[in-house]
Amino acid sequence: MSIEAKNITKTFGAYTALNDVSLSVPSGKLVALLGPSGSGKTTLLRIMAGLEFADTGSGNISFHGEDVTAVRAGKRRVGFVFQHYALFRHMTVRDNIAFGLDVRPKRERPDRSAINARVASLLKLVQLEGLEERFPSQLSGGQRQRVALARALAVEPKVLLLDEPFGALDAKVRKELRKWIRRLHDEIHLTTVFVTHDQEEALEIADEVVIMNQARVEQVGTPQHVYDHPASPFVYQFLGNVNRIRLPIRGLDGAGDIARSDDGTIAYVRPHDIELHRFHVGMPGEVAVIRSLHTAGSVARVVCVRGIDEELIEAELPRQYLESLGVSVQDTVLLRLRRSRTFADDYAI
Amino acid sequence: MSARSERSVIPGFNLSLGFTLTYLGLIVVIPLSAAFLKTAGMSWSAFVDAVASPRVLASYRLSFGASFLAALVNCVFGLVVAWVLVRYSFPGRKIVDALVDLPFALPTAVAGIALAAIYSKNGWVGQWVEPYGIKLAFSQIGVFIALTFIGLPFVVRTLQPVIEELEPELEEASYTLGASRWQTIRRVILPDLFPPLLTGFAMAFARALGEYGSVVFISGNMPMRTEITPLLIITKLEQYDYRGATAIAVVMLVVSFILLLFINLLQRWSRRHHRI
Amino acid sequence: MASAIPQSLTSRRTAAPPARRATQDPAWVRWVLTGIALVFLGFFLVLPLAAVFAEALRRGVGAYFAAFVDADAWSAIKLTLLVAAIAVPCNLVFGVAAAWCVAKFKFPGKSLLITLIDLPFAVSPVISGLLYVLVFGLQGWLGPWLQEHDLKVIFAVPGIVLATVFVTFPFVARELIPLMQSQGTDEEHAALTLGANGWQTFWRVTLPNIKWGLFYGIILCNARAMGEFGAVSVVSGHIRGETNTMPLHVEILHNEFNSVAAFAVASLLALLALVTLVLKSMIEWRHARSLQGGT
Repeated sequence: MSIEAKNITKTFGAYTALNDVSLSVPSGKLVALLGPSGSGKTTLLRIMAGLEFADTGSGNISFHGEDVTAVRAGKRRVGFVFQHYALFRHMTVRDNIAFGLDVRPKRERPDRSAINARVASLLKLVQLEGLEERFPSQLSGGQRQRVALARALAVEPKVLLLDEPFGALDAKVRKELRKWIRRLHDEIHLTTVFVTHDQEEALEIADEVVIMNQARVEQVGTPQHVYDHPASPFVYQFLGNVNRIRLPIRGLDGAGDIARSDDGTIAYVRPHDIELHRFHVGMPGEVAVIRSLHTAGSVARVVCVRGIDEELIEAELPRQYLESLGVSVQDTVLLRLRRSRTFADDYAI
Repeated sequence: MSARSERSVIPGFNLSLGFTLTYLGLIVVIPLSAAFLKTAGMSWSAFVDAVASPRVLASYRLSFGASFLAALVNCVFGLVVAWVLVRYSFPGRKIVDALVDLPFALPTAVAGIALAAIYSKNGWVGQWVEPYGIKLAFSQIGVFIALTFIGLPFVVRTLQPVIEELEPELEEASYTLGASRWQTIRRVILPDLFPPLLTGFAMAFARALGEYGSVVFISGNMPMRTEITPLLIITKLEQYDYRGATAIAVVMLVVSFILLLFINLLQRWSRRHHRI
Repeated sequence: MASAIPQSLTSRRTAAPPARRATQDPAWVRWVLTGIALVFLGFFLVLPLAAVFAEALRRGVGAYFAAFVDADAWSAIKLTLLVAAIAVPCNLVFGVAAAWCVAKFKFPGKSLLITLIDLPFAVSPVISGLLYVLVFGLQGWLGPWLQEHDLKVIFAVPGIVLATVFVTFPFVARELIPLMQSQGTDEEHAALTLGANGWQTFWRVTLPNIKWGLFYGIILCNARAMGEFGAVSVVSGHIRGETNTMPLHVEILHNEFNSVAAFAVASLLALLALVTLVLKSMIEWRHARSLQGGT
């Protein structure tokens, strides 16, 4: 089922959490709402779920073309997984998962054995068989997360909304769980939206990434697209490392010796889009001195100081290539930029 | 007040707030306003006569003086008790800890007759000081004893959580910077304990001002000497002097509300202070 | 959020004493301070408590039980139970309603509301009684009307109940408000997204989460309701066998120099206090455990 949010504005007193945001989530996709804290992503998710309401008269939410703005949370058929799981701490894992079925009016409620069967199959799905009788306090963070997911899935939701699903977990569990979520999504094909502030997480598992900043949507696209073609300086800096280099520079866009004349504008260059060469008189490129070398890892990082204004520029290159160059700290080198981007209205220093 | 500033998905707001306000209005607000309205009907001179006659002034002096002293004593010993209960371990610590709440749980009349029995001249304690001409029960000292009993838990219970949350790292940091134990206590620990100590003092003082049950049995209730203000209100009521009783009550209410406001501000301040 | 009673379950955690480290005081300091604390508490807490039972049993067990044969004593006990049985549930329902709207919603005037809820703690018990005399007494607002309809509030049971409701008014509410505030609204939101309605959410999610706080509030409320003296004294009229609660009966016996009987009835109230303290400590202990293992 697709989700459509149109012209959503949400203010808390003087603070604007969402400023005329529109977004459409295609059916069956795994979509990440990515942004720094305070960008409005969680508020947007909660408005989709019916846990918050947009400012009166400011727009609507529809599921598969049907306007659900006035439908209350319990009737929207959304599965919502809370950042801190919000498991009912006085109930066992089984009772937590069965809750959504137990509270249905009598005529809609499945019988006991059907509920038990559903709980068992969900526990199998989230790989927690045998933990039915545990209480939430007896589970690890990753297990709680999966119980919360099973509980949300128990009511057969049409969309799944996850608020910072990996935020409260340690790094290792986080990585495992996000791969697992991606596999799960491939299995059940439920339209899923998750909120995250971790760009690596969003780029790794989402079909589509929605980048938010200061109550607005900055860019929407596939991970590849938003990484390669950031629509704004914000997106450039938020997704991955980037060098902000003040123009002019020699060796721009691999174009040899041509210096751009537009003084003062900023070029955004990914570290892996910088070529490094040994210095030869007459060779094209920007002259720089190596400040430090970091060779622990598969790619080597080289920090250089540009000659004319002592600006630091970071380059990433294969280790073998760096070794074959045979350069070391304090050596003078030439930099060439394979690809860069400038933004017309960006005067930031 | 019933205006909803923010829509919420959780139901029951109108029902719960409506019930709360109605109940609050009927039980608390309307009766309280009765006292003020009754007094508003008095002329100024009648009011002054009622609340500032020599006998009433004497009762203020006793009530405020004894409450102040009792709260002060509770600050000193309450600090020691709270410190001992949090920082040290000794057999029976948990029982002692639970017992601190006794003045909350023990009906005041029971406390009153028990204290009177102990401190009267034949009592367990009274008999030892009686030969020296010291009268504990049926004197102003008796009032002070009862009010100390009643205020005891306030200081201890406000201090305890704060002492529990004192970070040992702060003390350790102080030692590594070369401070002595005494310097650490004076300059690192006590400043943190000051706001809750003051709060506890104000609470114990406020409670003592209004206390009646435990005091009347031990004070002897002699006009001008050992008569506390709440007792005077009852005396006036028994003489069918409703206006006089209400006038004194209004004075006490105003003092209580000022104290409540003060405690409120103190707690807000100390929370902010504590959070850093 | 002032409180005349600083204790609340959320703030009370009986923490284990810390392991020995550099911040520990030297042994002699520990001994001296512990000694001072115990002597002080001994004089002010243990001695009065012991005195109640010692005085009650001074003439032997027979005299002790003789005190309860008295019909007036029985009627005082029954009245006390009746008053508590009305006042506690009233304030329980109020406390839950107040905590629900204060903790789960945002609205203007909230802190004023909390202050008003705390107000009865700041009022002297004697004045609490006086307030009801002013409203319901013969000279009061409703006095003439009540007399016309042959209804009696002051110097009768309804007045005693009202005065008791007033003095125990905040107990449950101020126990639940901080507890429910600290628990937030996530679990309620989760229940609602799973299709539960308001009552289901309250009974199945909120109530189980606050049950210990609720018990705690009830116990304290009950102790005060049964033991209240000043407020009840003003509105009761001290009619033997009719409007005397246990604390008032203790006073009458004491004034009649019937010391053994006075202390015998008092010993029941002291036992109530001890039971209250034991239950209270048990709940605190449970609560501390649930906090340690909490989600």
